[in-house]
Amino acid sequence: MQIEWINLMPELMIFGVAIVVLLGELYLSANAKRILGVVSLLGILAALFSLTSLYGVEATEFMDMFSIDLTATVLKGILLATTALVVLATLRSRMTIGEGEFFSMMLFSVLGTMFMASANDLIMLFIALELTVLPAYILVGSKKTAGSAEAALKYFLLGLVASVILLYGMSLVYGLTGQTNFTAIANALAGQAIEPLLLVGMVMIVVGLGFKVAAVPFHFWAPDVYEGAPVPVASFLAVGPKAGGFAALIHFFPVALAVAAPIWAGLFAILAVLSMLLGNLAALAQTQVRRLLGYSAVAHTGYLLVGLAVADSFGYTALIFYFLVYSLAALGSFLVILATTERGLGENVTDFAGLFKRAPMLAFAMAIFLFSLVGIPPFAGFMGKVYLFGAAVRSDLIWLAVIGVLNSVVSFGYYVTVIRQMYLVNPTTDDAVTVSKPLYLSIVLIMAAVVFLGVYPSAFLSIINL
Amino acid sequence: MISEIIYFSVFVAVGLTVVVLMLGLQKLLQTKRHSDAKLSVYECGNIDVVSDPRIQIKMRYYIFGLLFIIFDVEMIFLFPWAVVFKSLGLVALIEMLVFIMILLLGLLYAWRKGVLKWT
Repeated sequence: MQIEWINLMPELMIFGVAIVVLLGELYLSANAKRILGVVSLLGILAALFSLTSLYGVEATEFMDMFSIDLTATVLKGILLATTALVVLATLRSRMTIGEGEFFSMMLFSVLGTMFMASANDLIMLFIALELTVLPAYILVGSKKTAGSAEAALKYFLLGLVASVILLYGMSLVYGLTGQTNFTAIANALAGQAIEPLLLVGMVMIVVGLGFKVAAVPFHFWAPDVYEGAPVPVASFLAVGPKAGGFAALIHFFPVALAVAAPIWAGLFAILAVLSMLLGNLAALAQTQVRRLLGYSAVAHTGYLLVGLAVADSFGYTALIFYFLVYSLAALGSFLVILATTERGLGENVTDFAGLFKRAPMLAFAMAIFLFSLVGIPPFAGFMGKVYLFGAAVRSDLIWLAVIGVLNSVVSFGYYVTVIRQMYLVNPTTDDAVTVSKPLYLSIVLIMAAVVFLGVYPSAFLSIINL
Repeated sequence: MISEIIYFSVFVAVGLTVVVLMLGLQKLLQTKRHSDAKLSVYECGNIDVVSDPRIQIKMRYYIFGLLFIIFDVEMIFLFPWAVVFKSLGLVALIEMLVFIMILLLGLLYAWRKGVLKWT
């Protein structure tokens, strides 16, 4: 068994940087620790660069446990690029500067997500999942305030329950097939009648992974975590662990449980509808911006699950594209909140009053991100929804597409309250809100990407061969 | 069959003799000097067994427990590794060293952060 280490280069780099940053945290002086963020950023960029050489490579490593294919490579690319933006944005943040633990935990979580994207085996999937979420629990609780601790505890306990249910489901699937490898499971199940026990196992896996991506009715933790976690962490959670959950979903179900495709597609359709409805309706009632974005994240999980309900390559491609679009816009809006909270602004919607006059660029960026989340052209969110609901219509799931579009209209209601506060309400003070340069750069880059992908989506779609 | 019964009865006889010898000898040779400490109930972690049930246990105790668990669980991986070590060769040695290094990093982290200080 020969291992092609070059295929694992991005993972090895992230791992190496995470270790180096952790050691730096232990041995450097407080002043020297300021470079740890830069080291992390360079490491992620190096990993991203080495990932480009894997574009188009199809291979498996570790006795078929780890598979490299186009979907995995593209997902890793999205993940590394968005994480690089998070690190860039937090380089000079008061909350993270000199905190080697923040960067190293984030890198370990990213490493887990990368393994999840490539996992081709139940055991690999589970270990990768735990590697993704364990650092995330630590990150959420890292602020040592009551809110942060509460969020961490909720996240930890519910995540634990989800992991256990997932593991139980996996053990049932293993018990029926005697295999842990995805393709081997598919081969063992091919041509046989679907046993009730397989359905039980399948539902348990859906529930376990549903917790991780915060689909209704397994979403309880999401609003609390997005609200209670330190802002840099909340912005990372919107991209990192969520990418892992969806990577697992689009790798496991279509490959291993291809036999039962109509059944799980139906399940995902139900979860999609519930998530969209409850996420959007609950968000309408929120007055705290991060909680609002938390419910919006639940609603967007609903939109993304439409791709799985479609259950064909168009659906998965649309899902990946929408995930990129969503994570950019969500990350962008969290970074704007980071910028305002760094300057002591509150997190209620009314605290954004007149932001346009105090920080025109931030208000403009926030407006673009929120419009993209609603799905208004010419921003990326619009094209994402076009492809996603287009894929649904193409597979005769017109009702699902209609519910999705109606929900987008509802979501306009709460996004626009933030925009109204920023542009139409007068500020209580005229003090300018200044932004640190790396954060500014990160927000501008995301803004450019959101507009670029909205105008020219085929730039990305040609990469994933649609 | 007969030889097996003999084998078995010898085994039982030796076992019983050892037990009787050990208990009998210590009964014969022991000196009895009781003290409070000797008569107290043994409990892992030095907790006073008969007292108010709501007591505070030092947080450090659990952190030490966690650190112990890390290396305890490592054993699960070390035993099967040791069994097949010969057929795997040098690669297995390097892989296991990497694994233990990662675990040691955890210990190093706890050490540098001052977790190992009892007070």
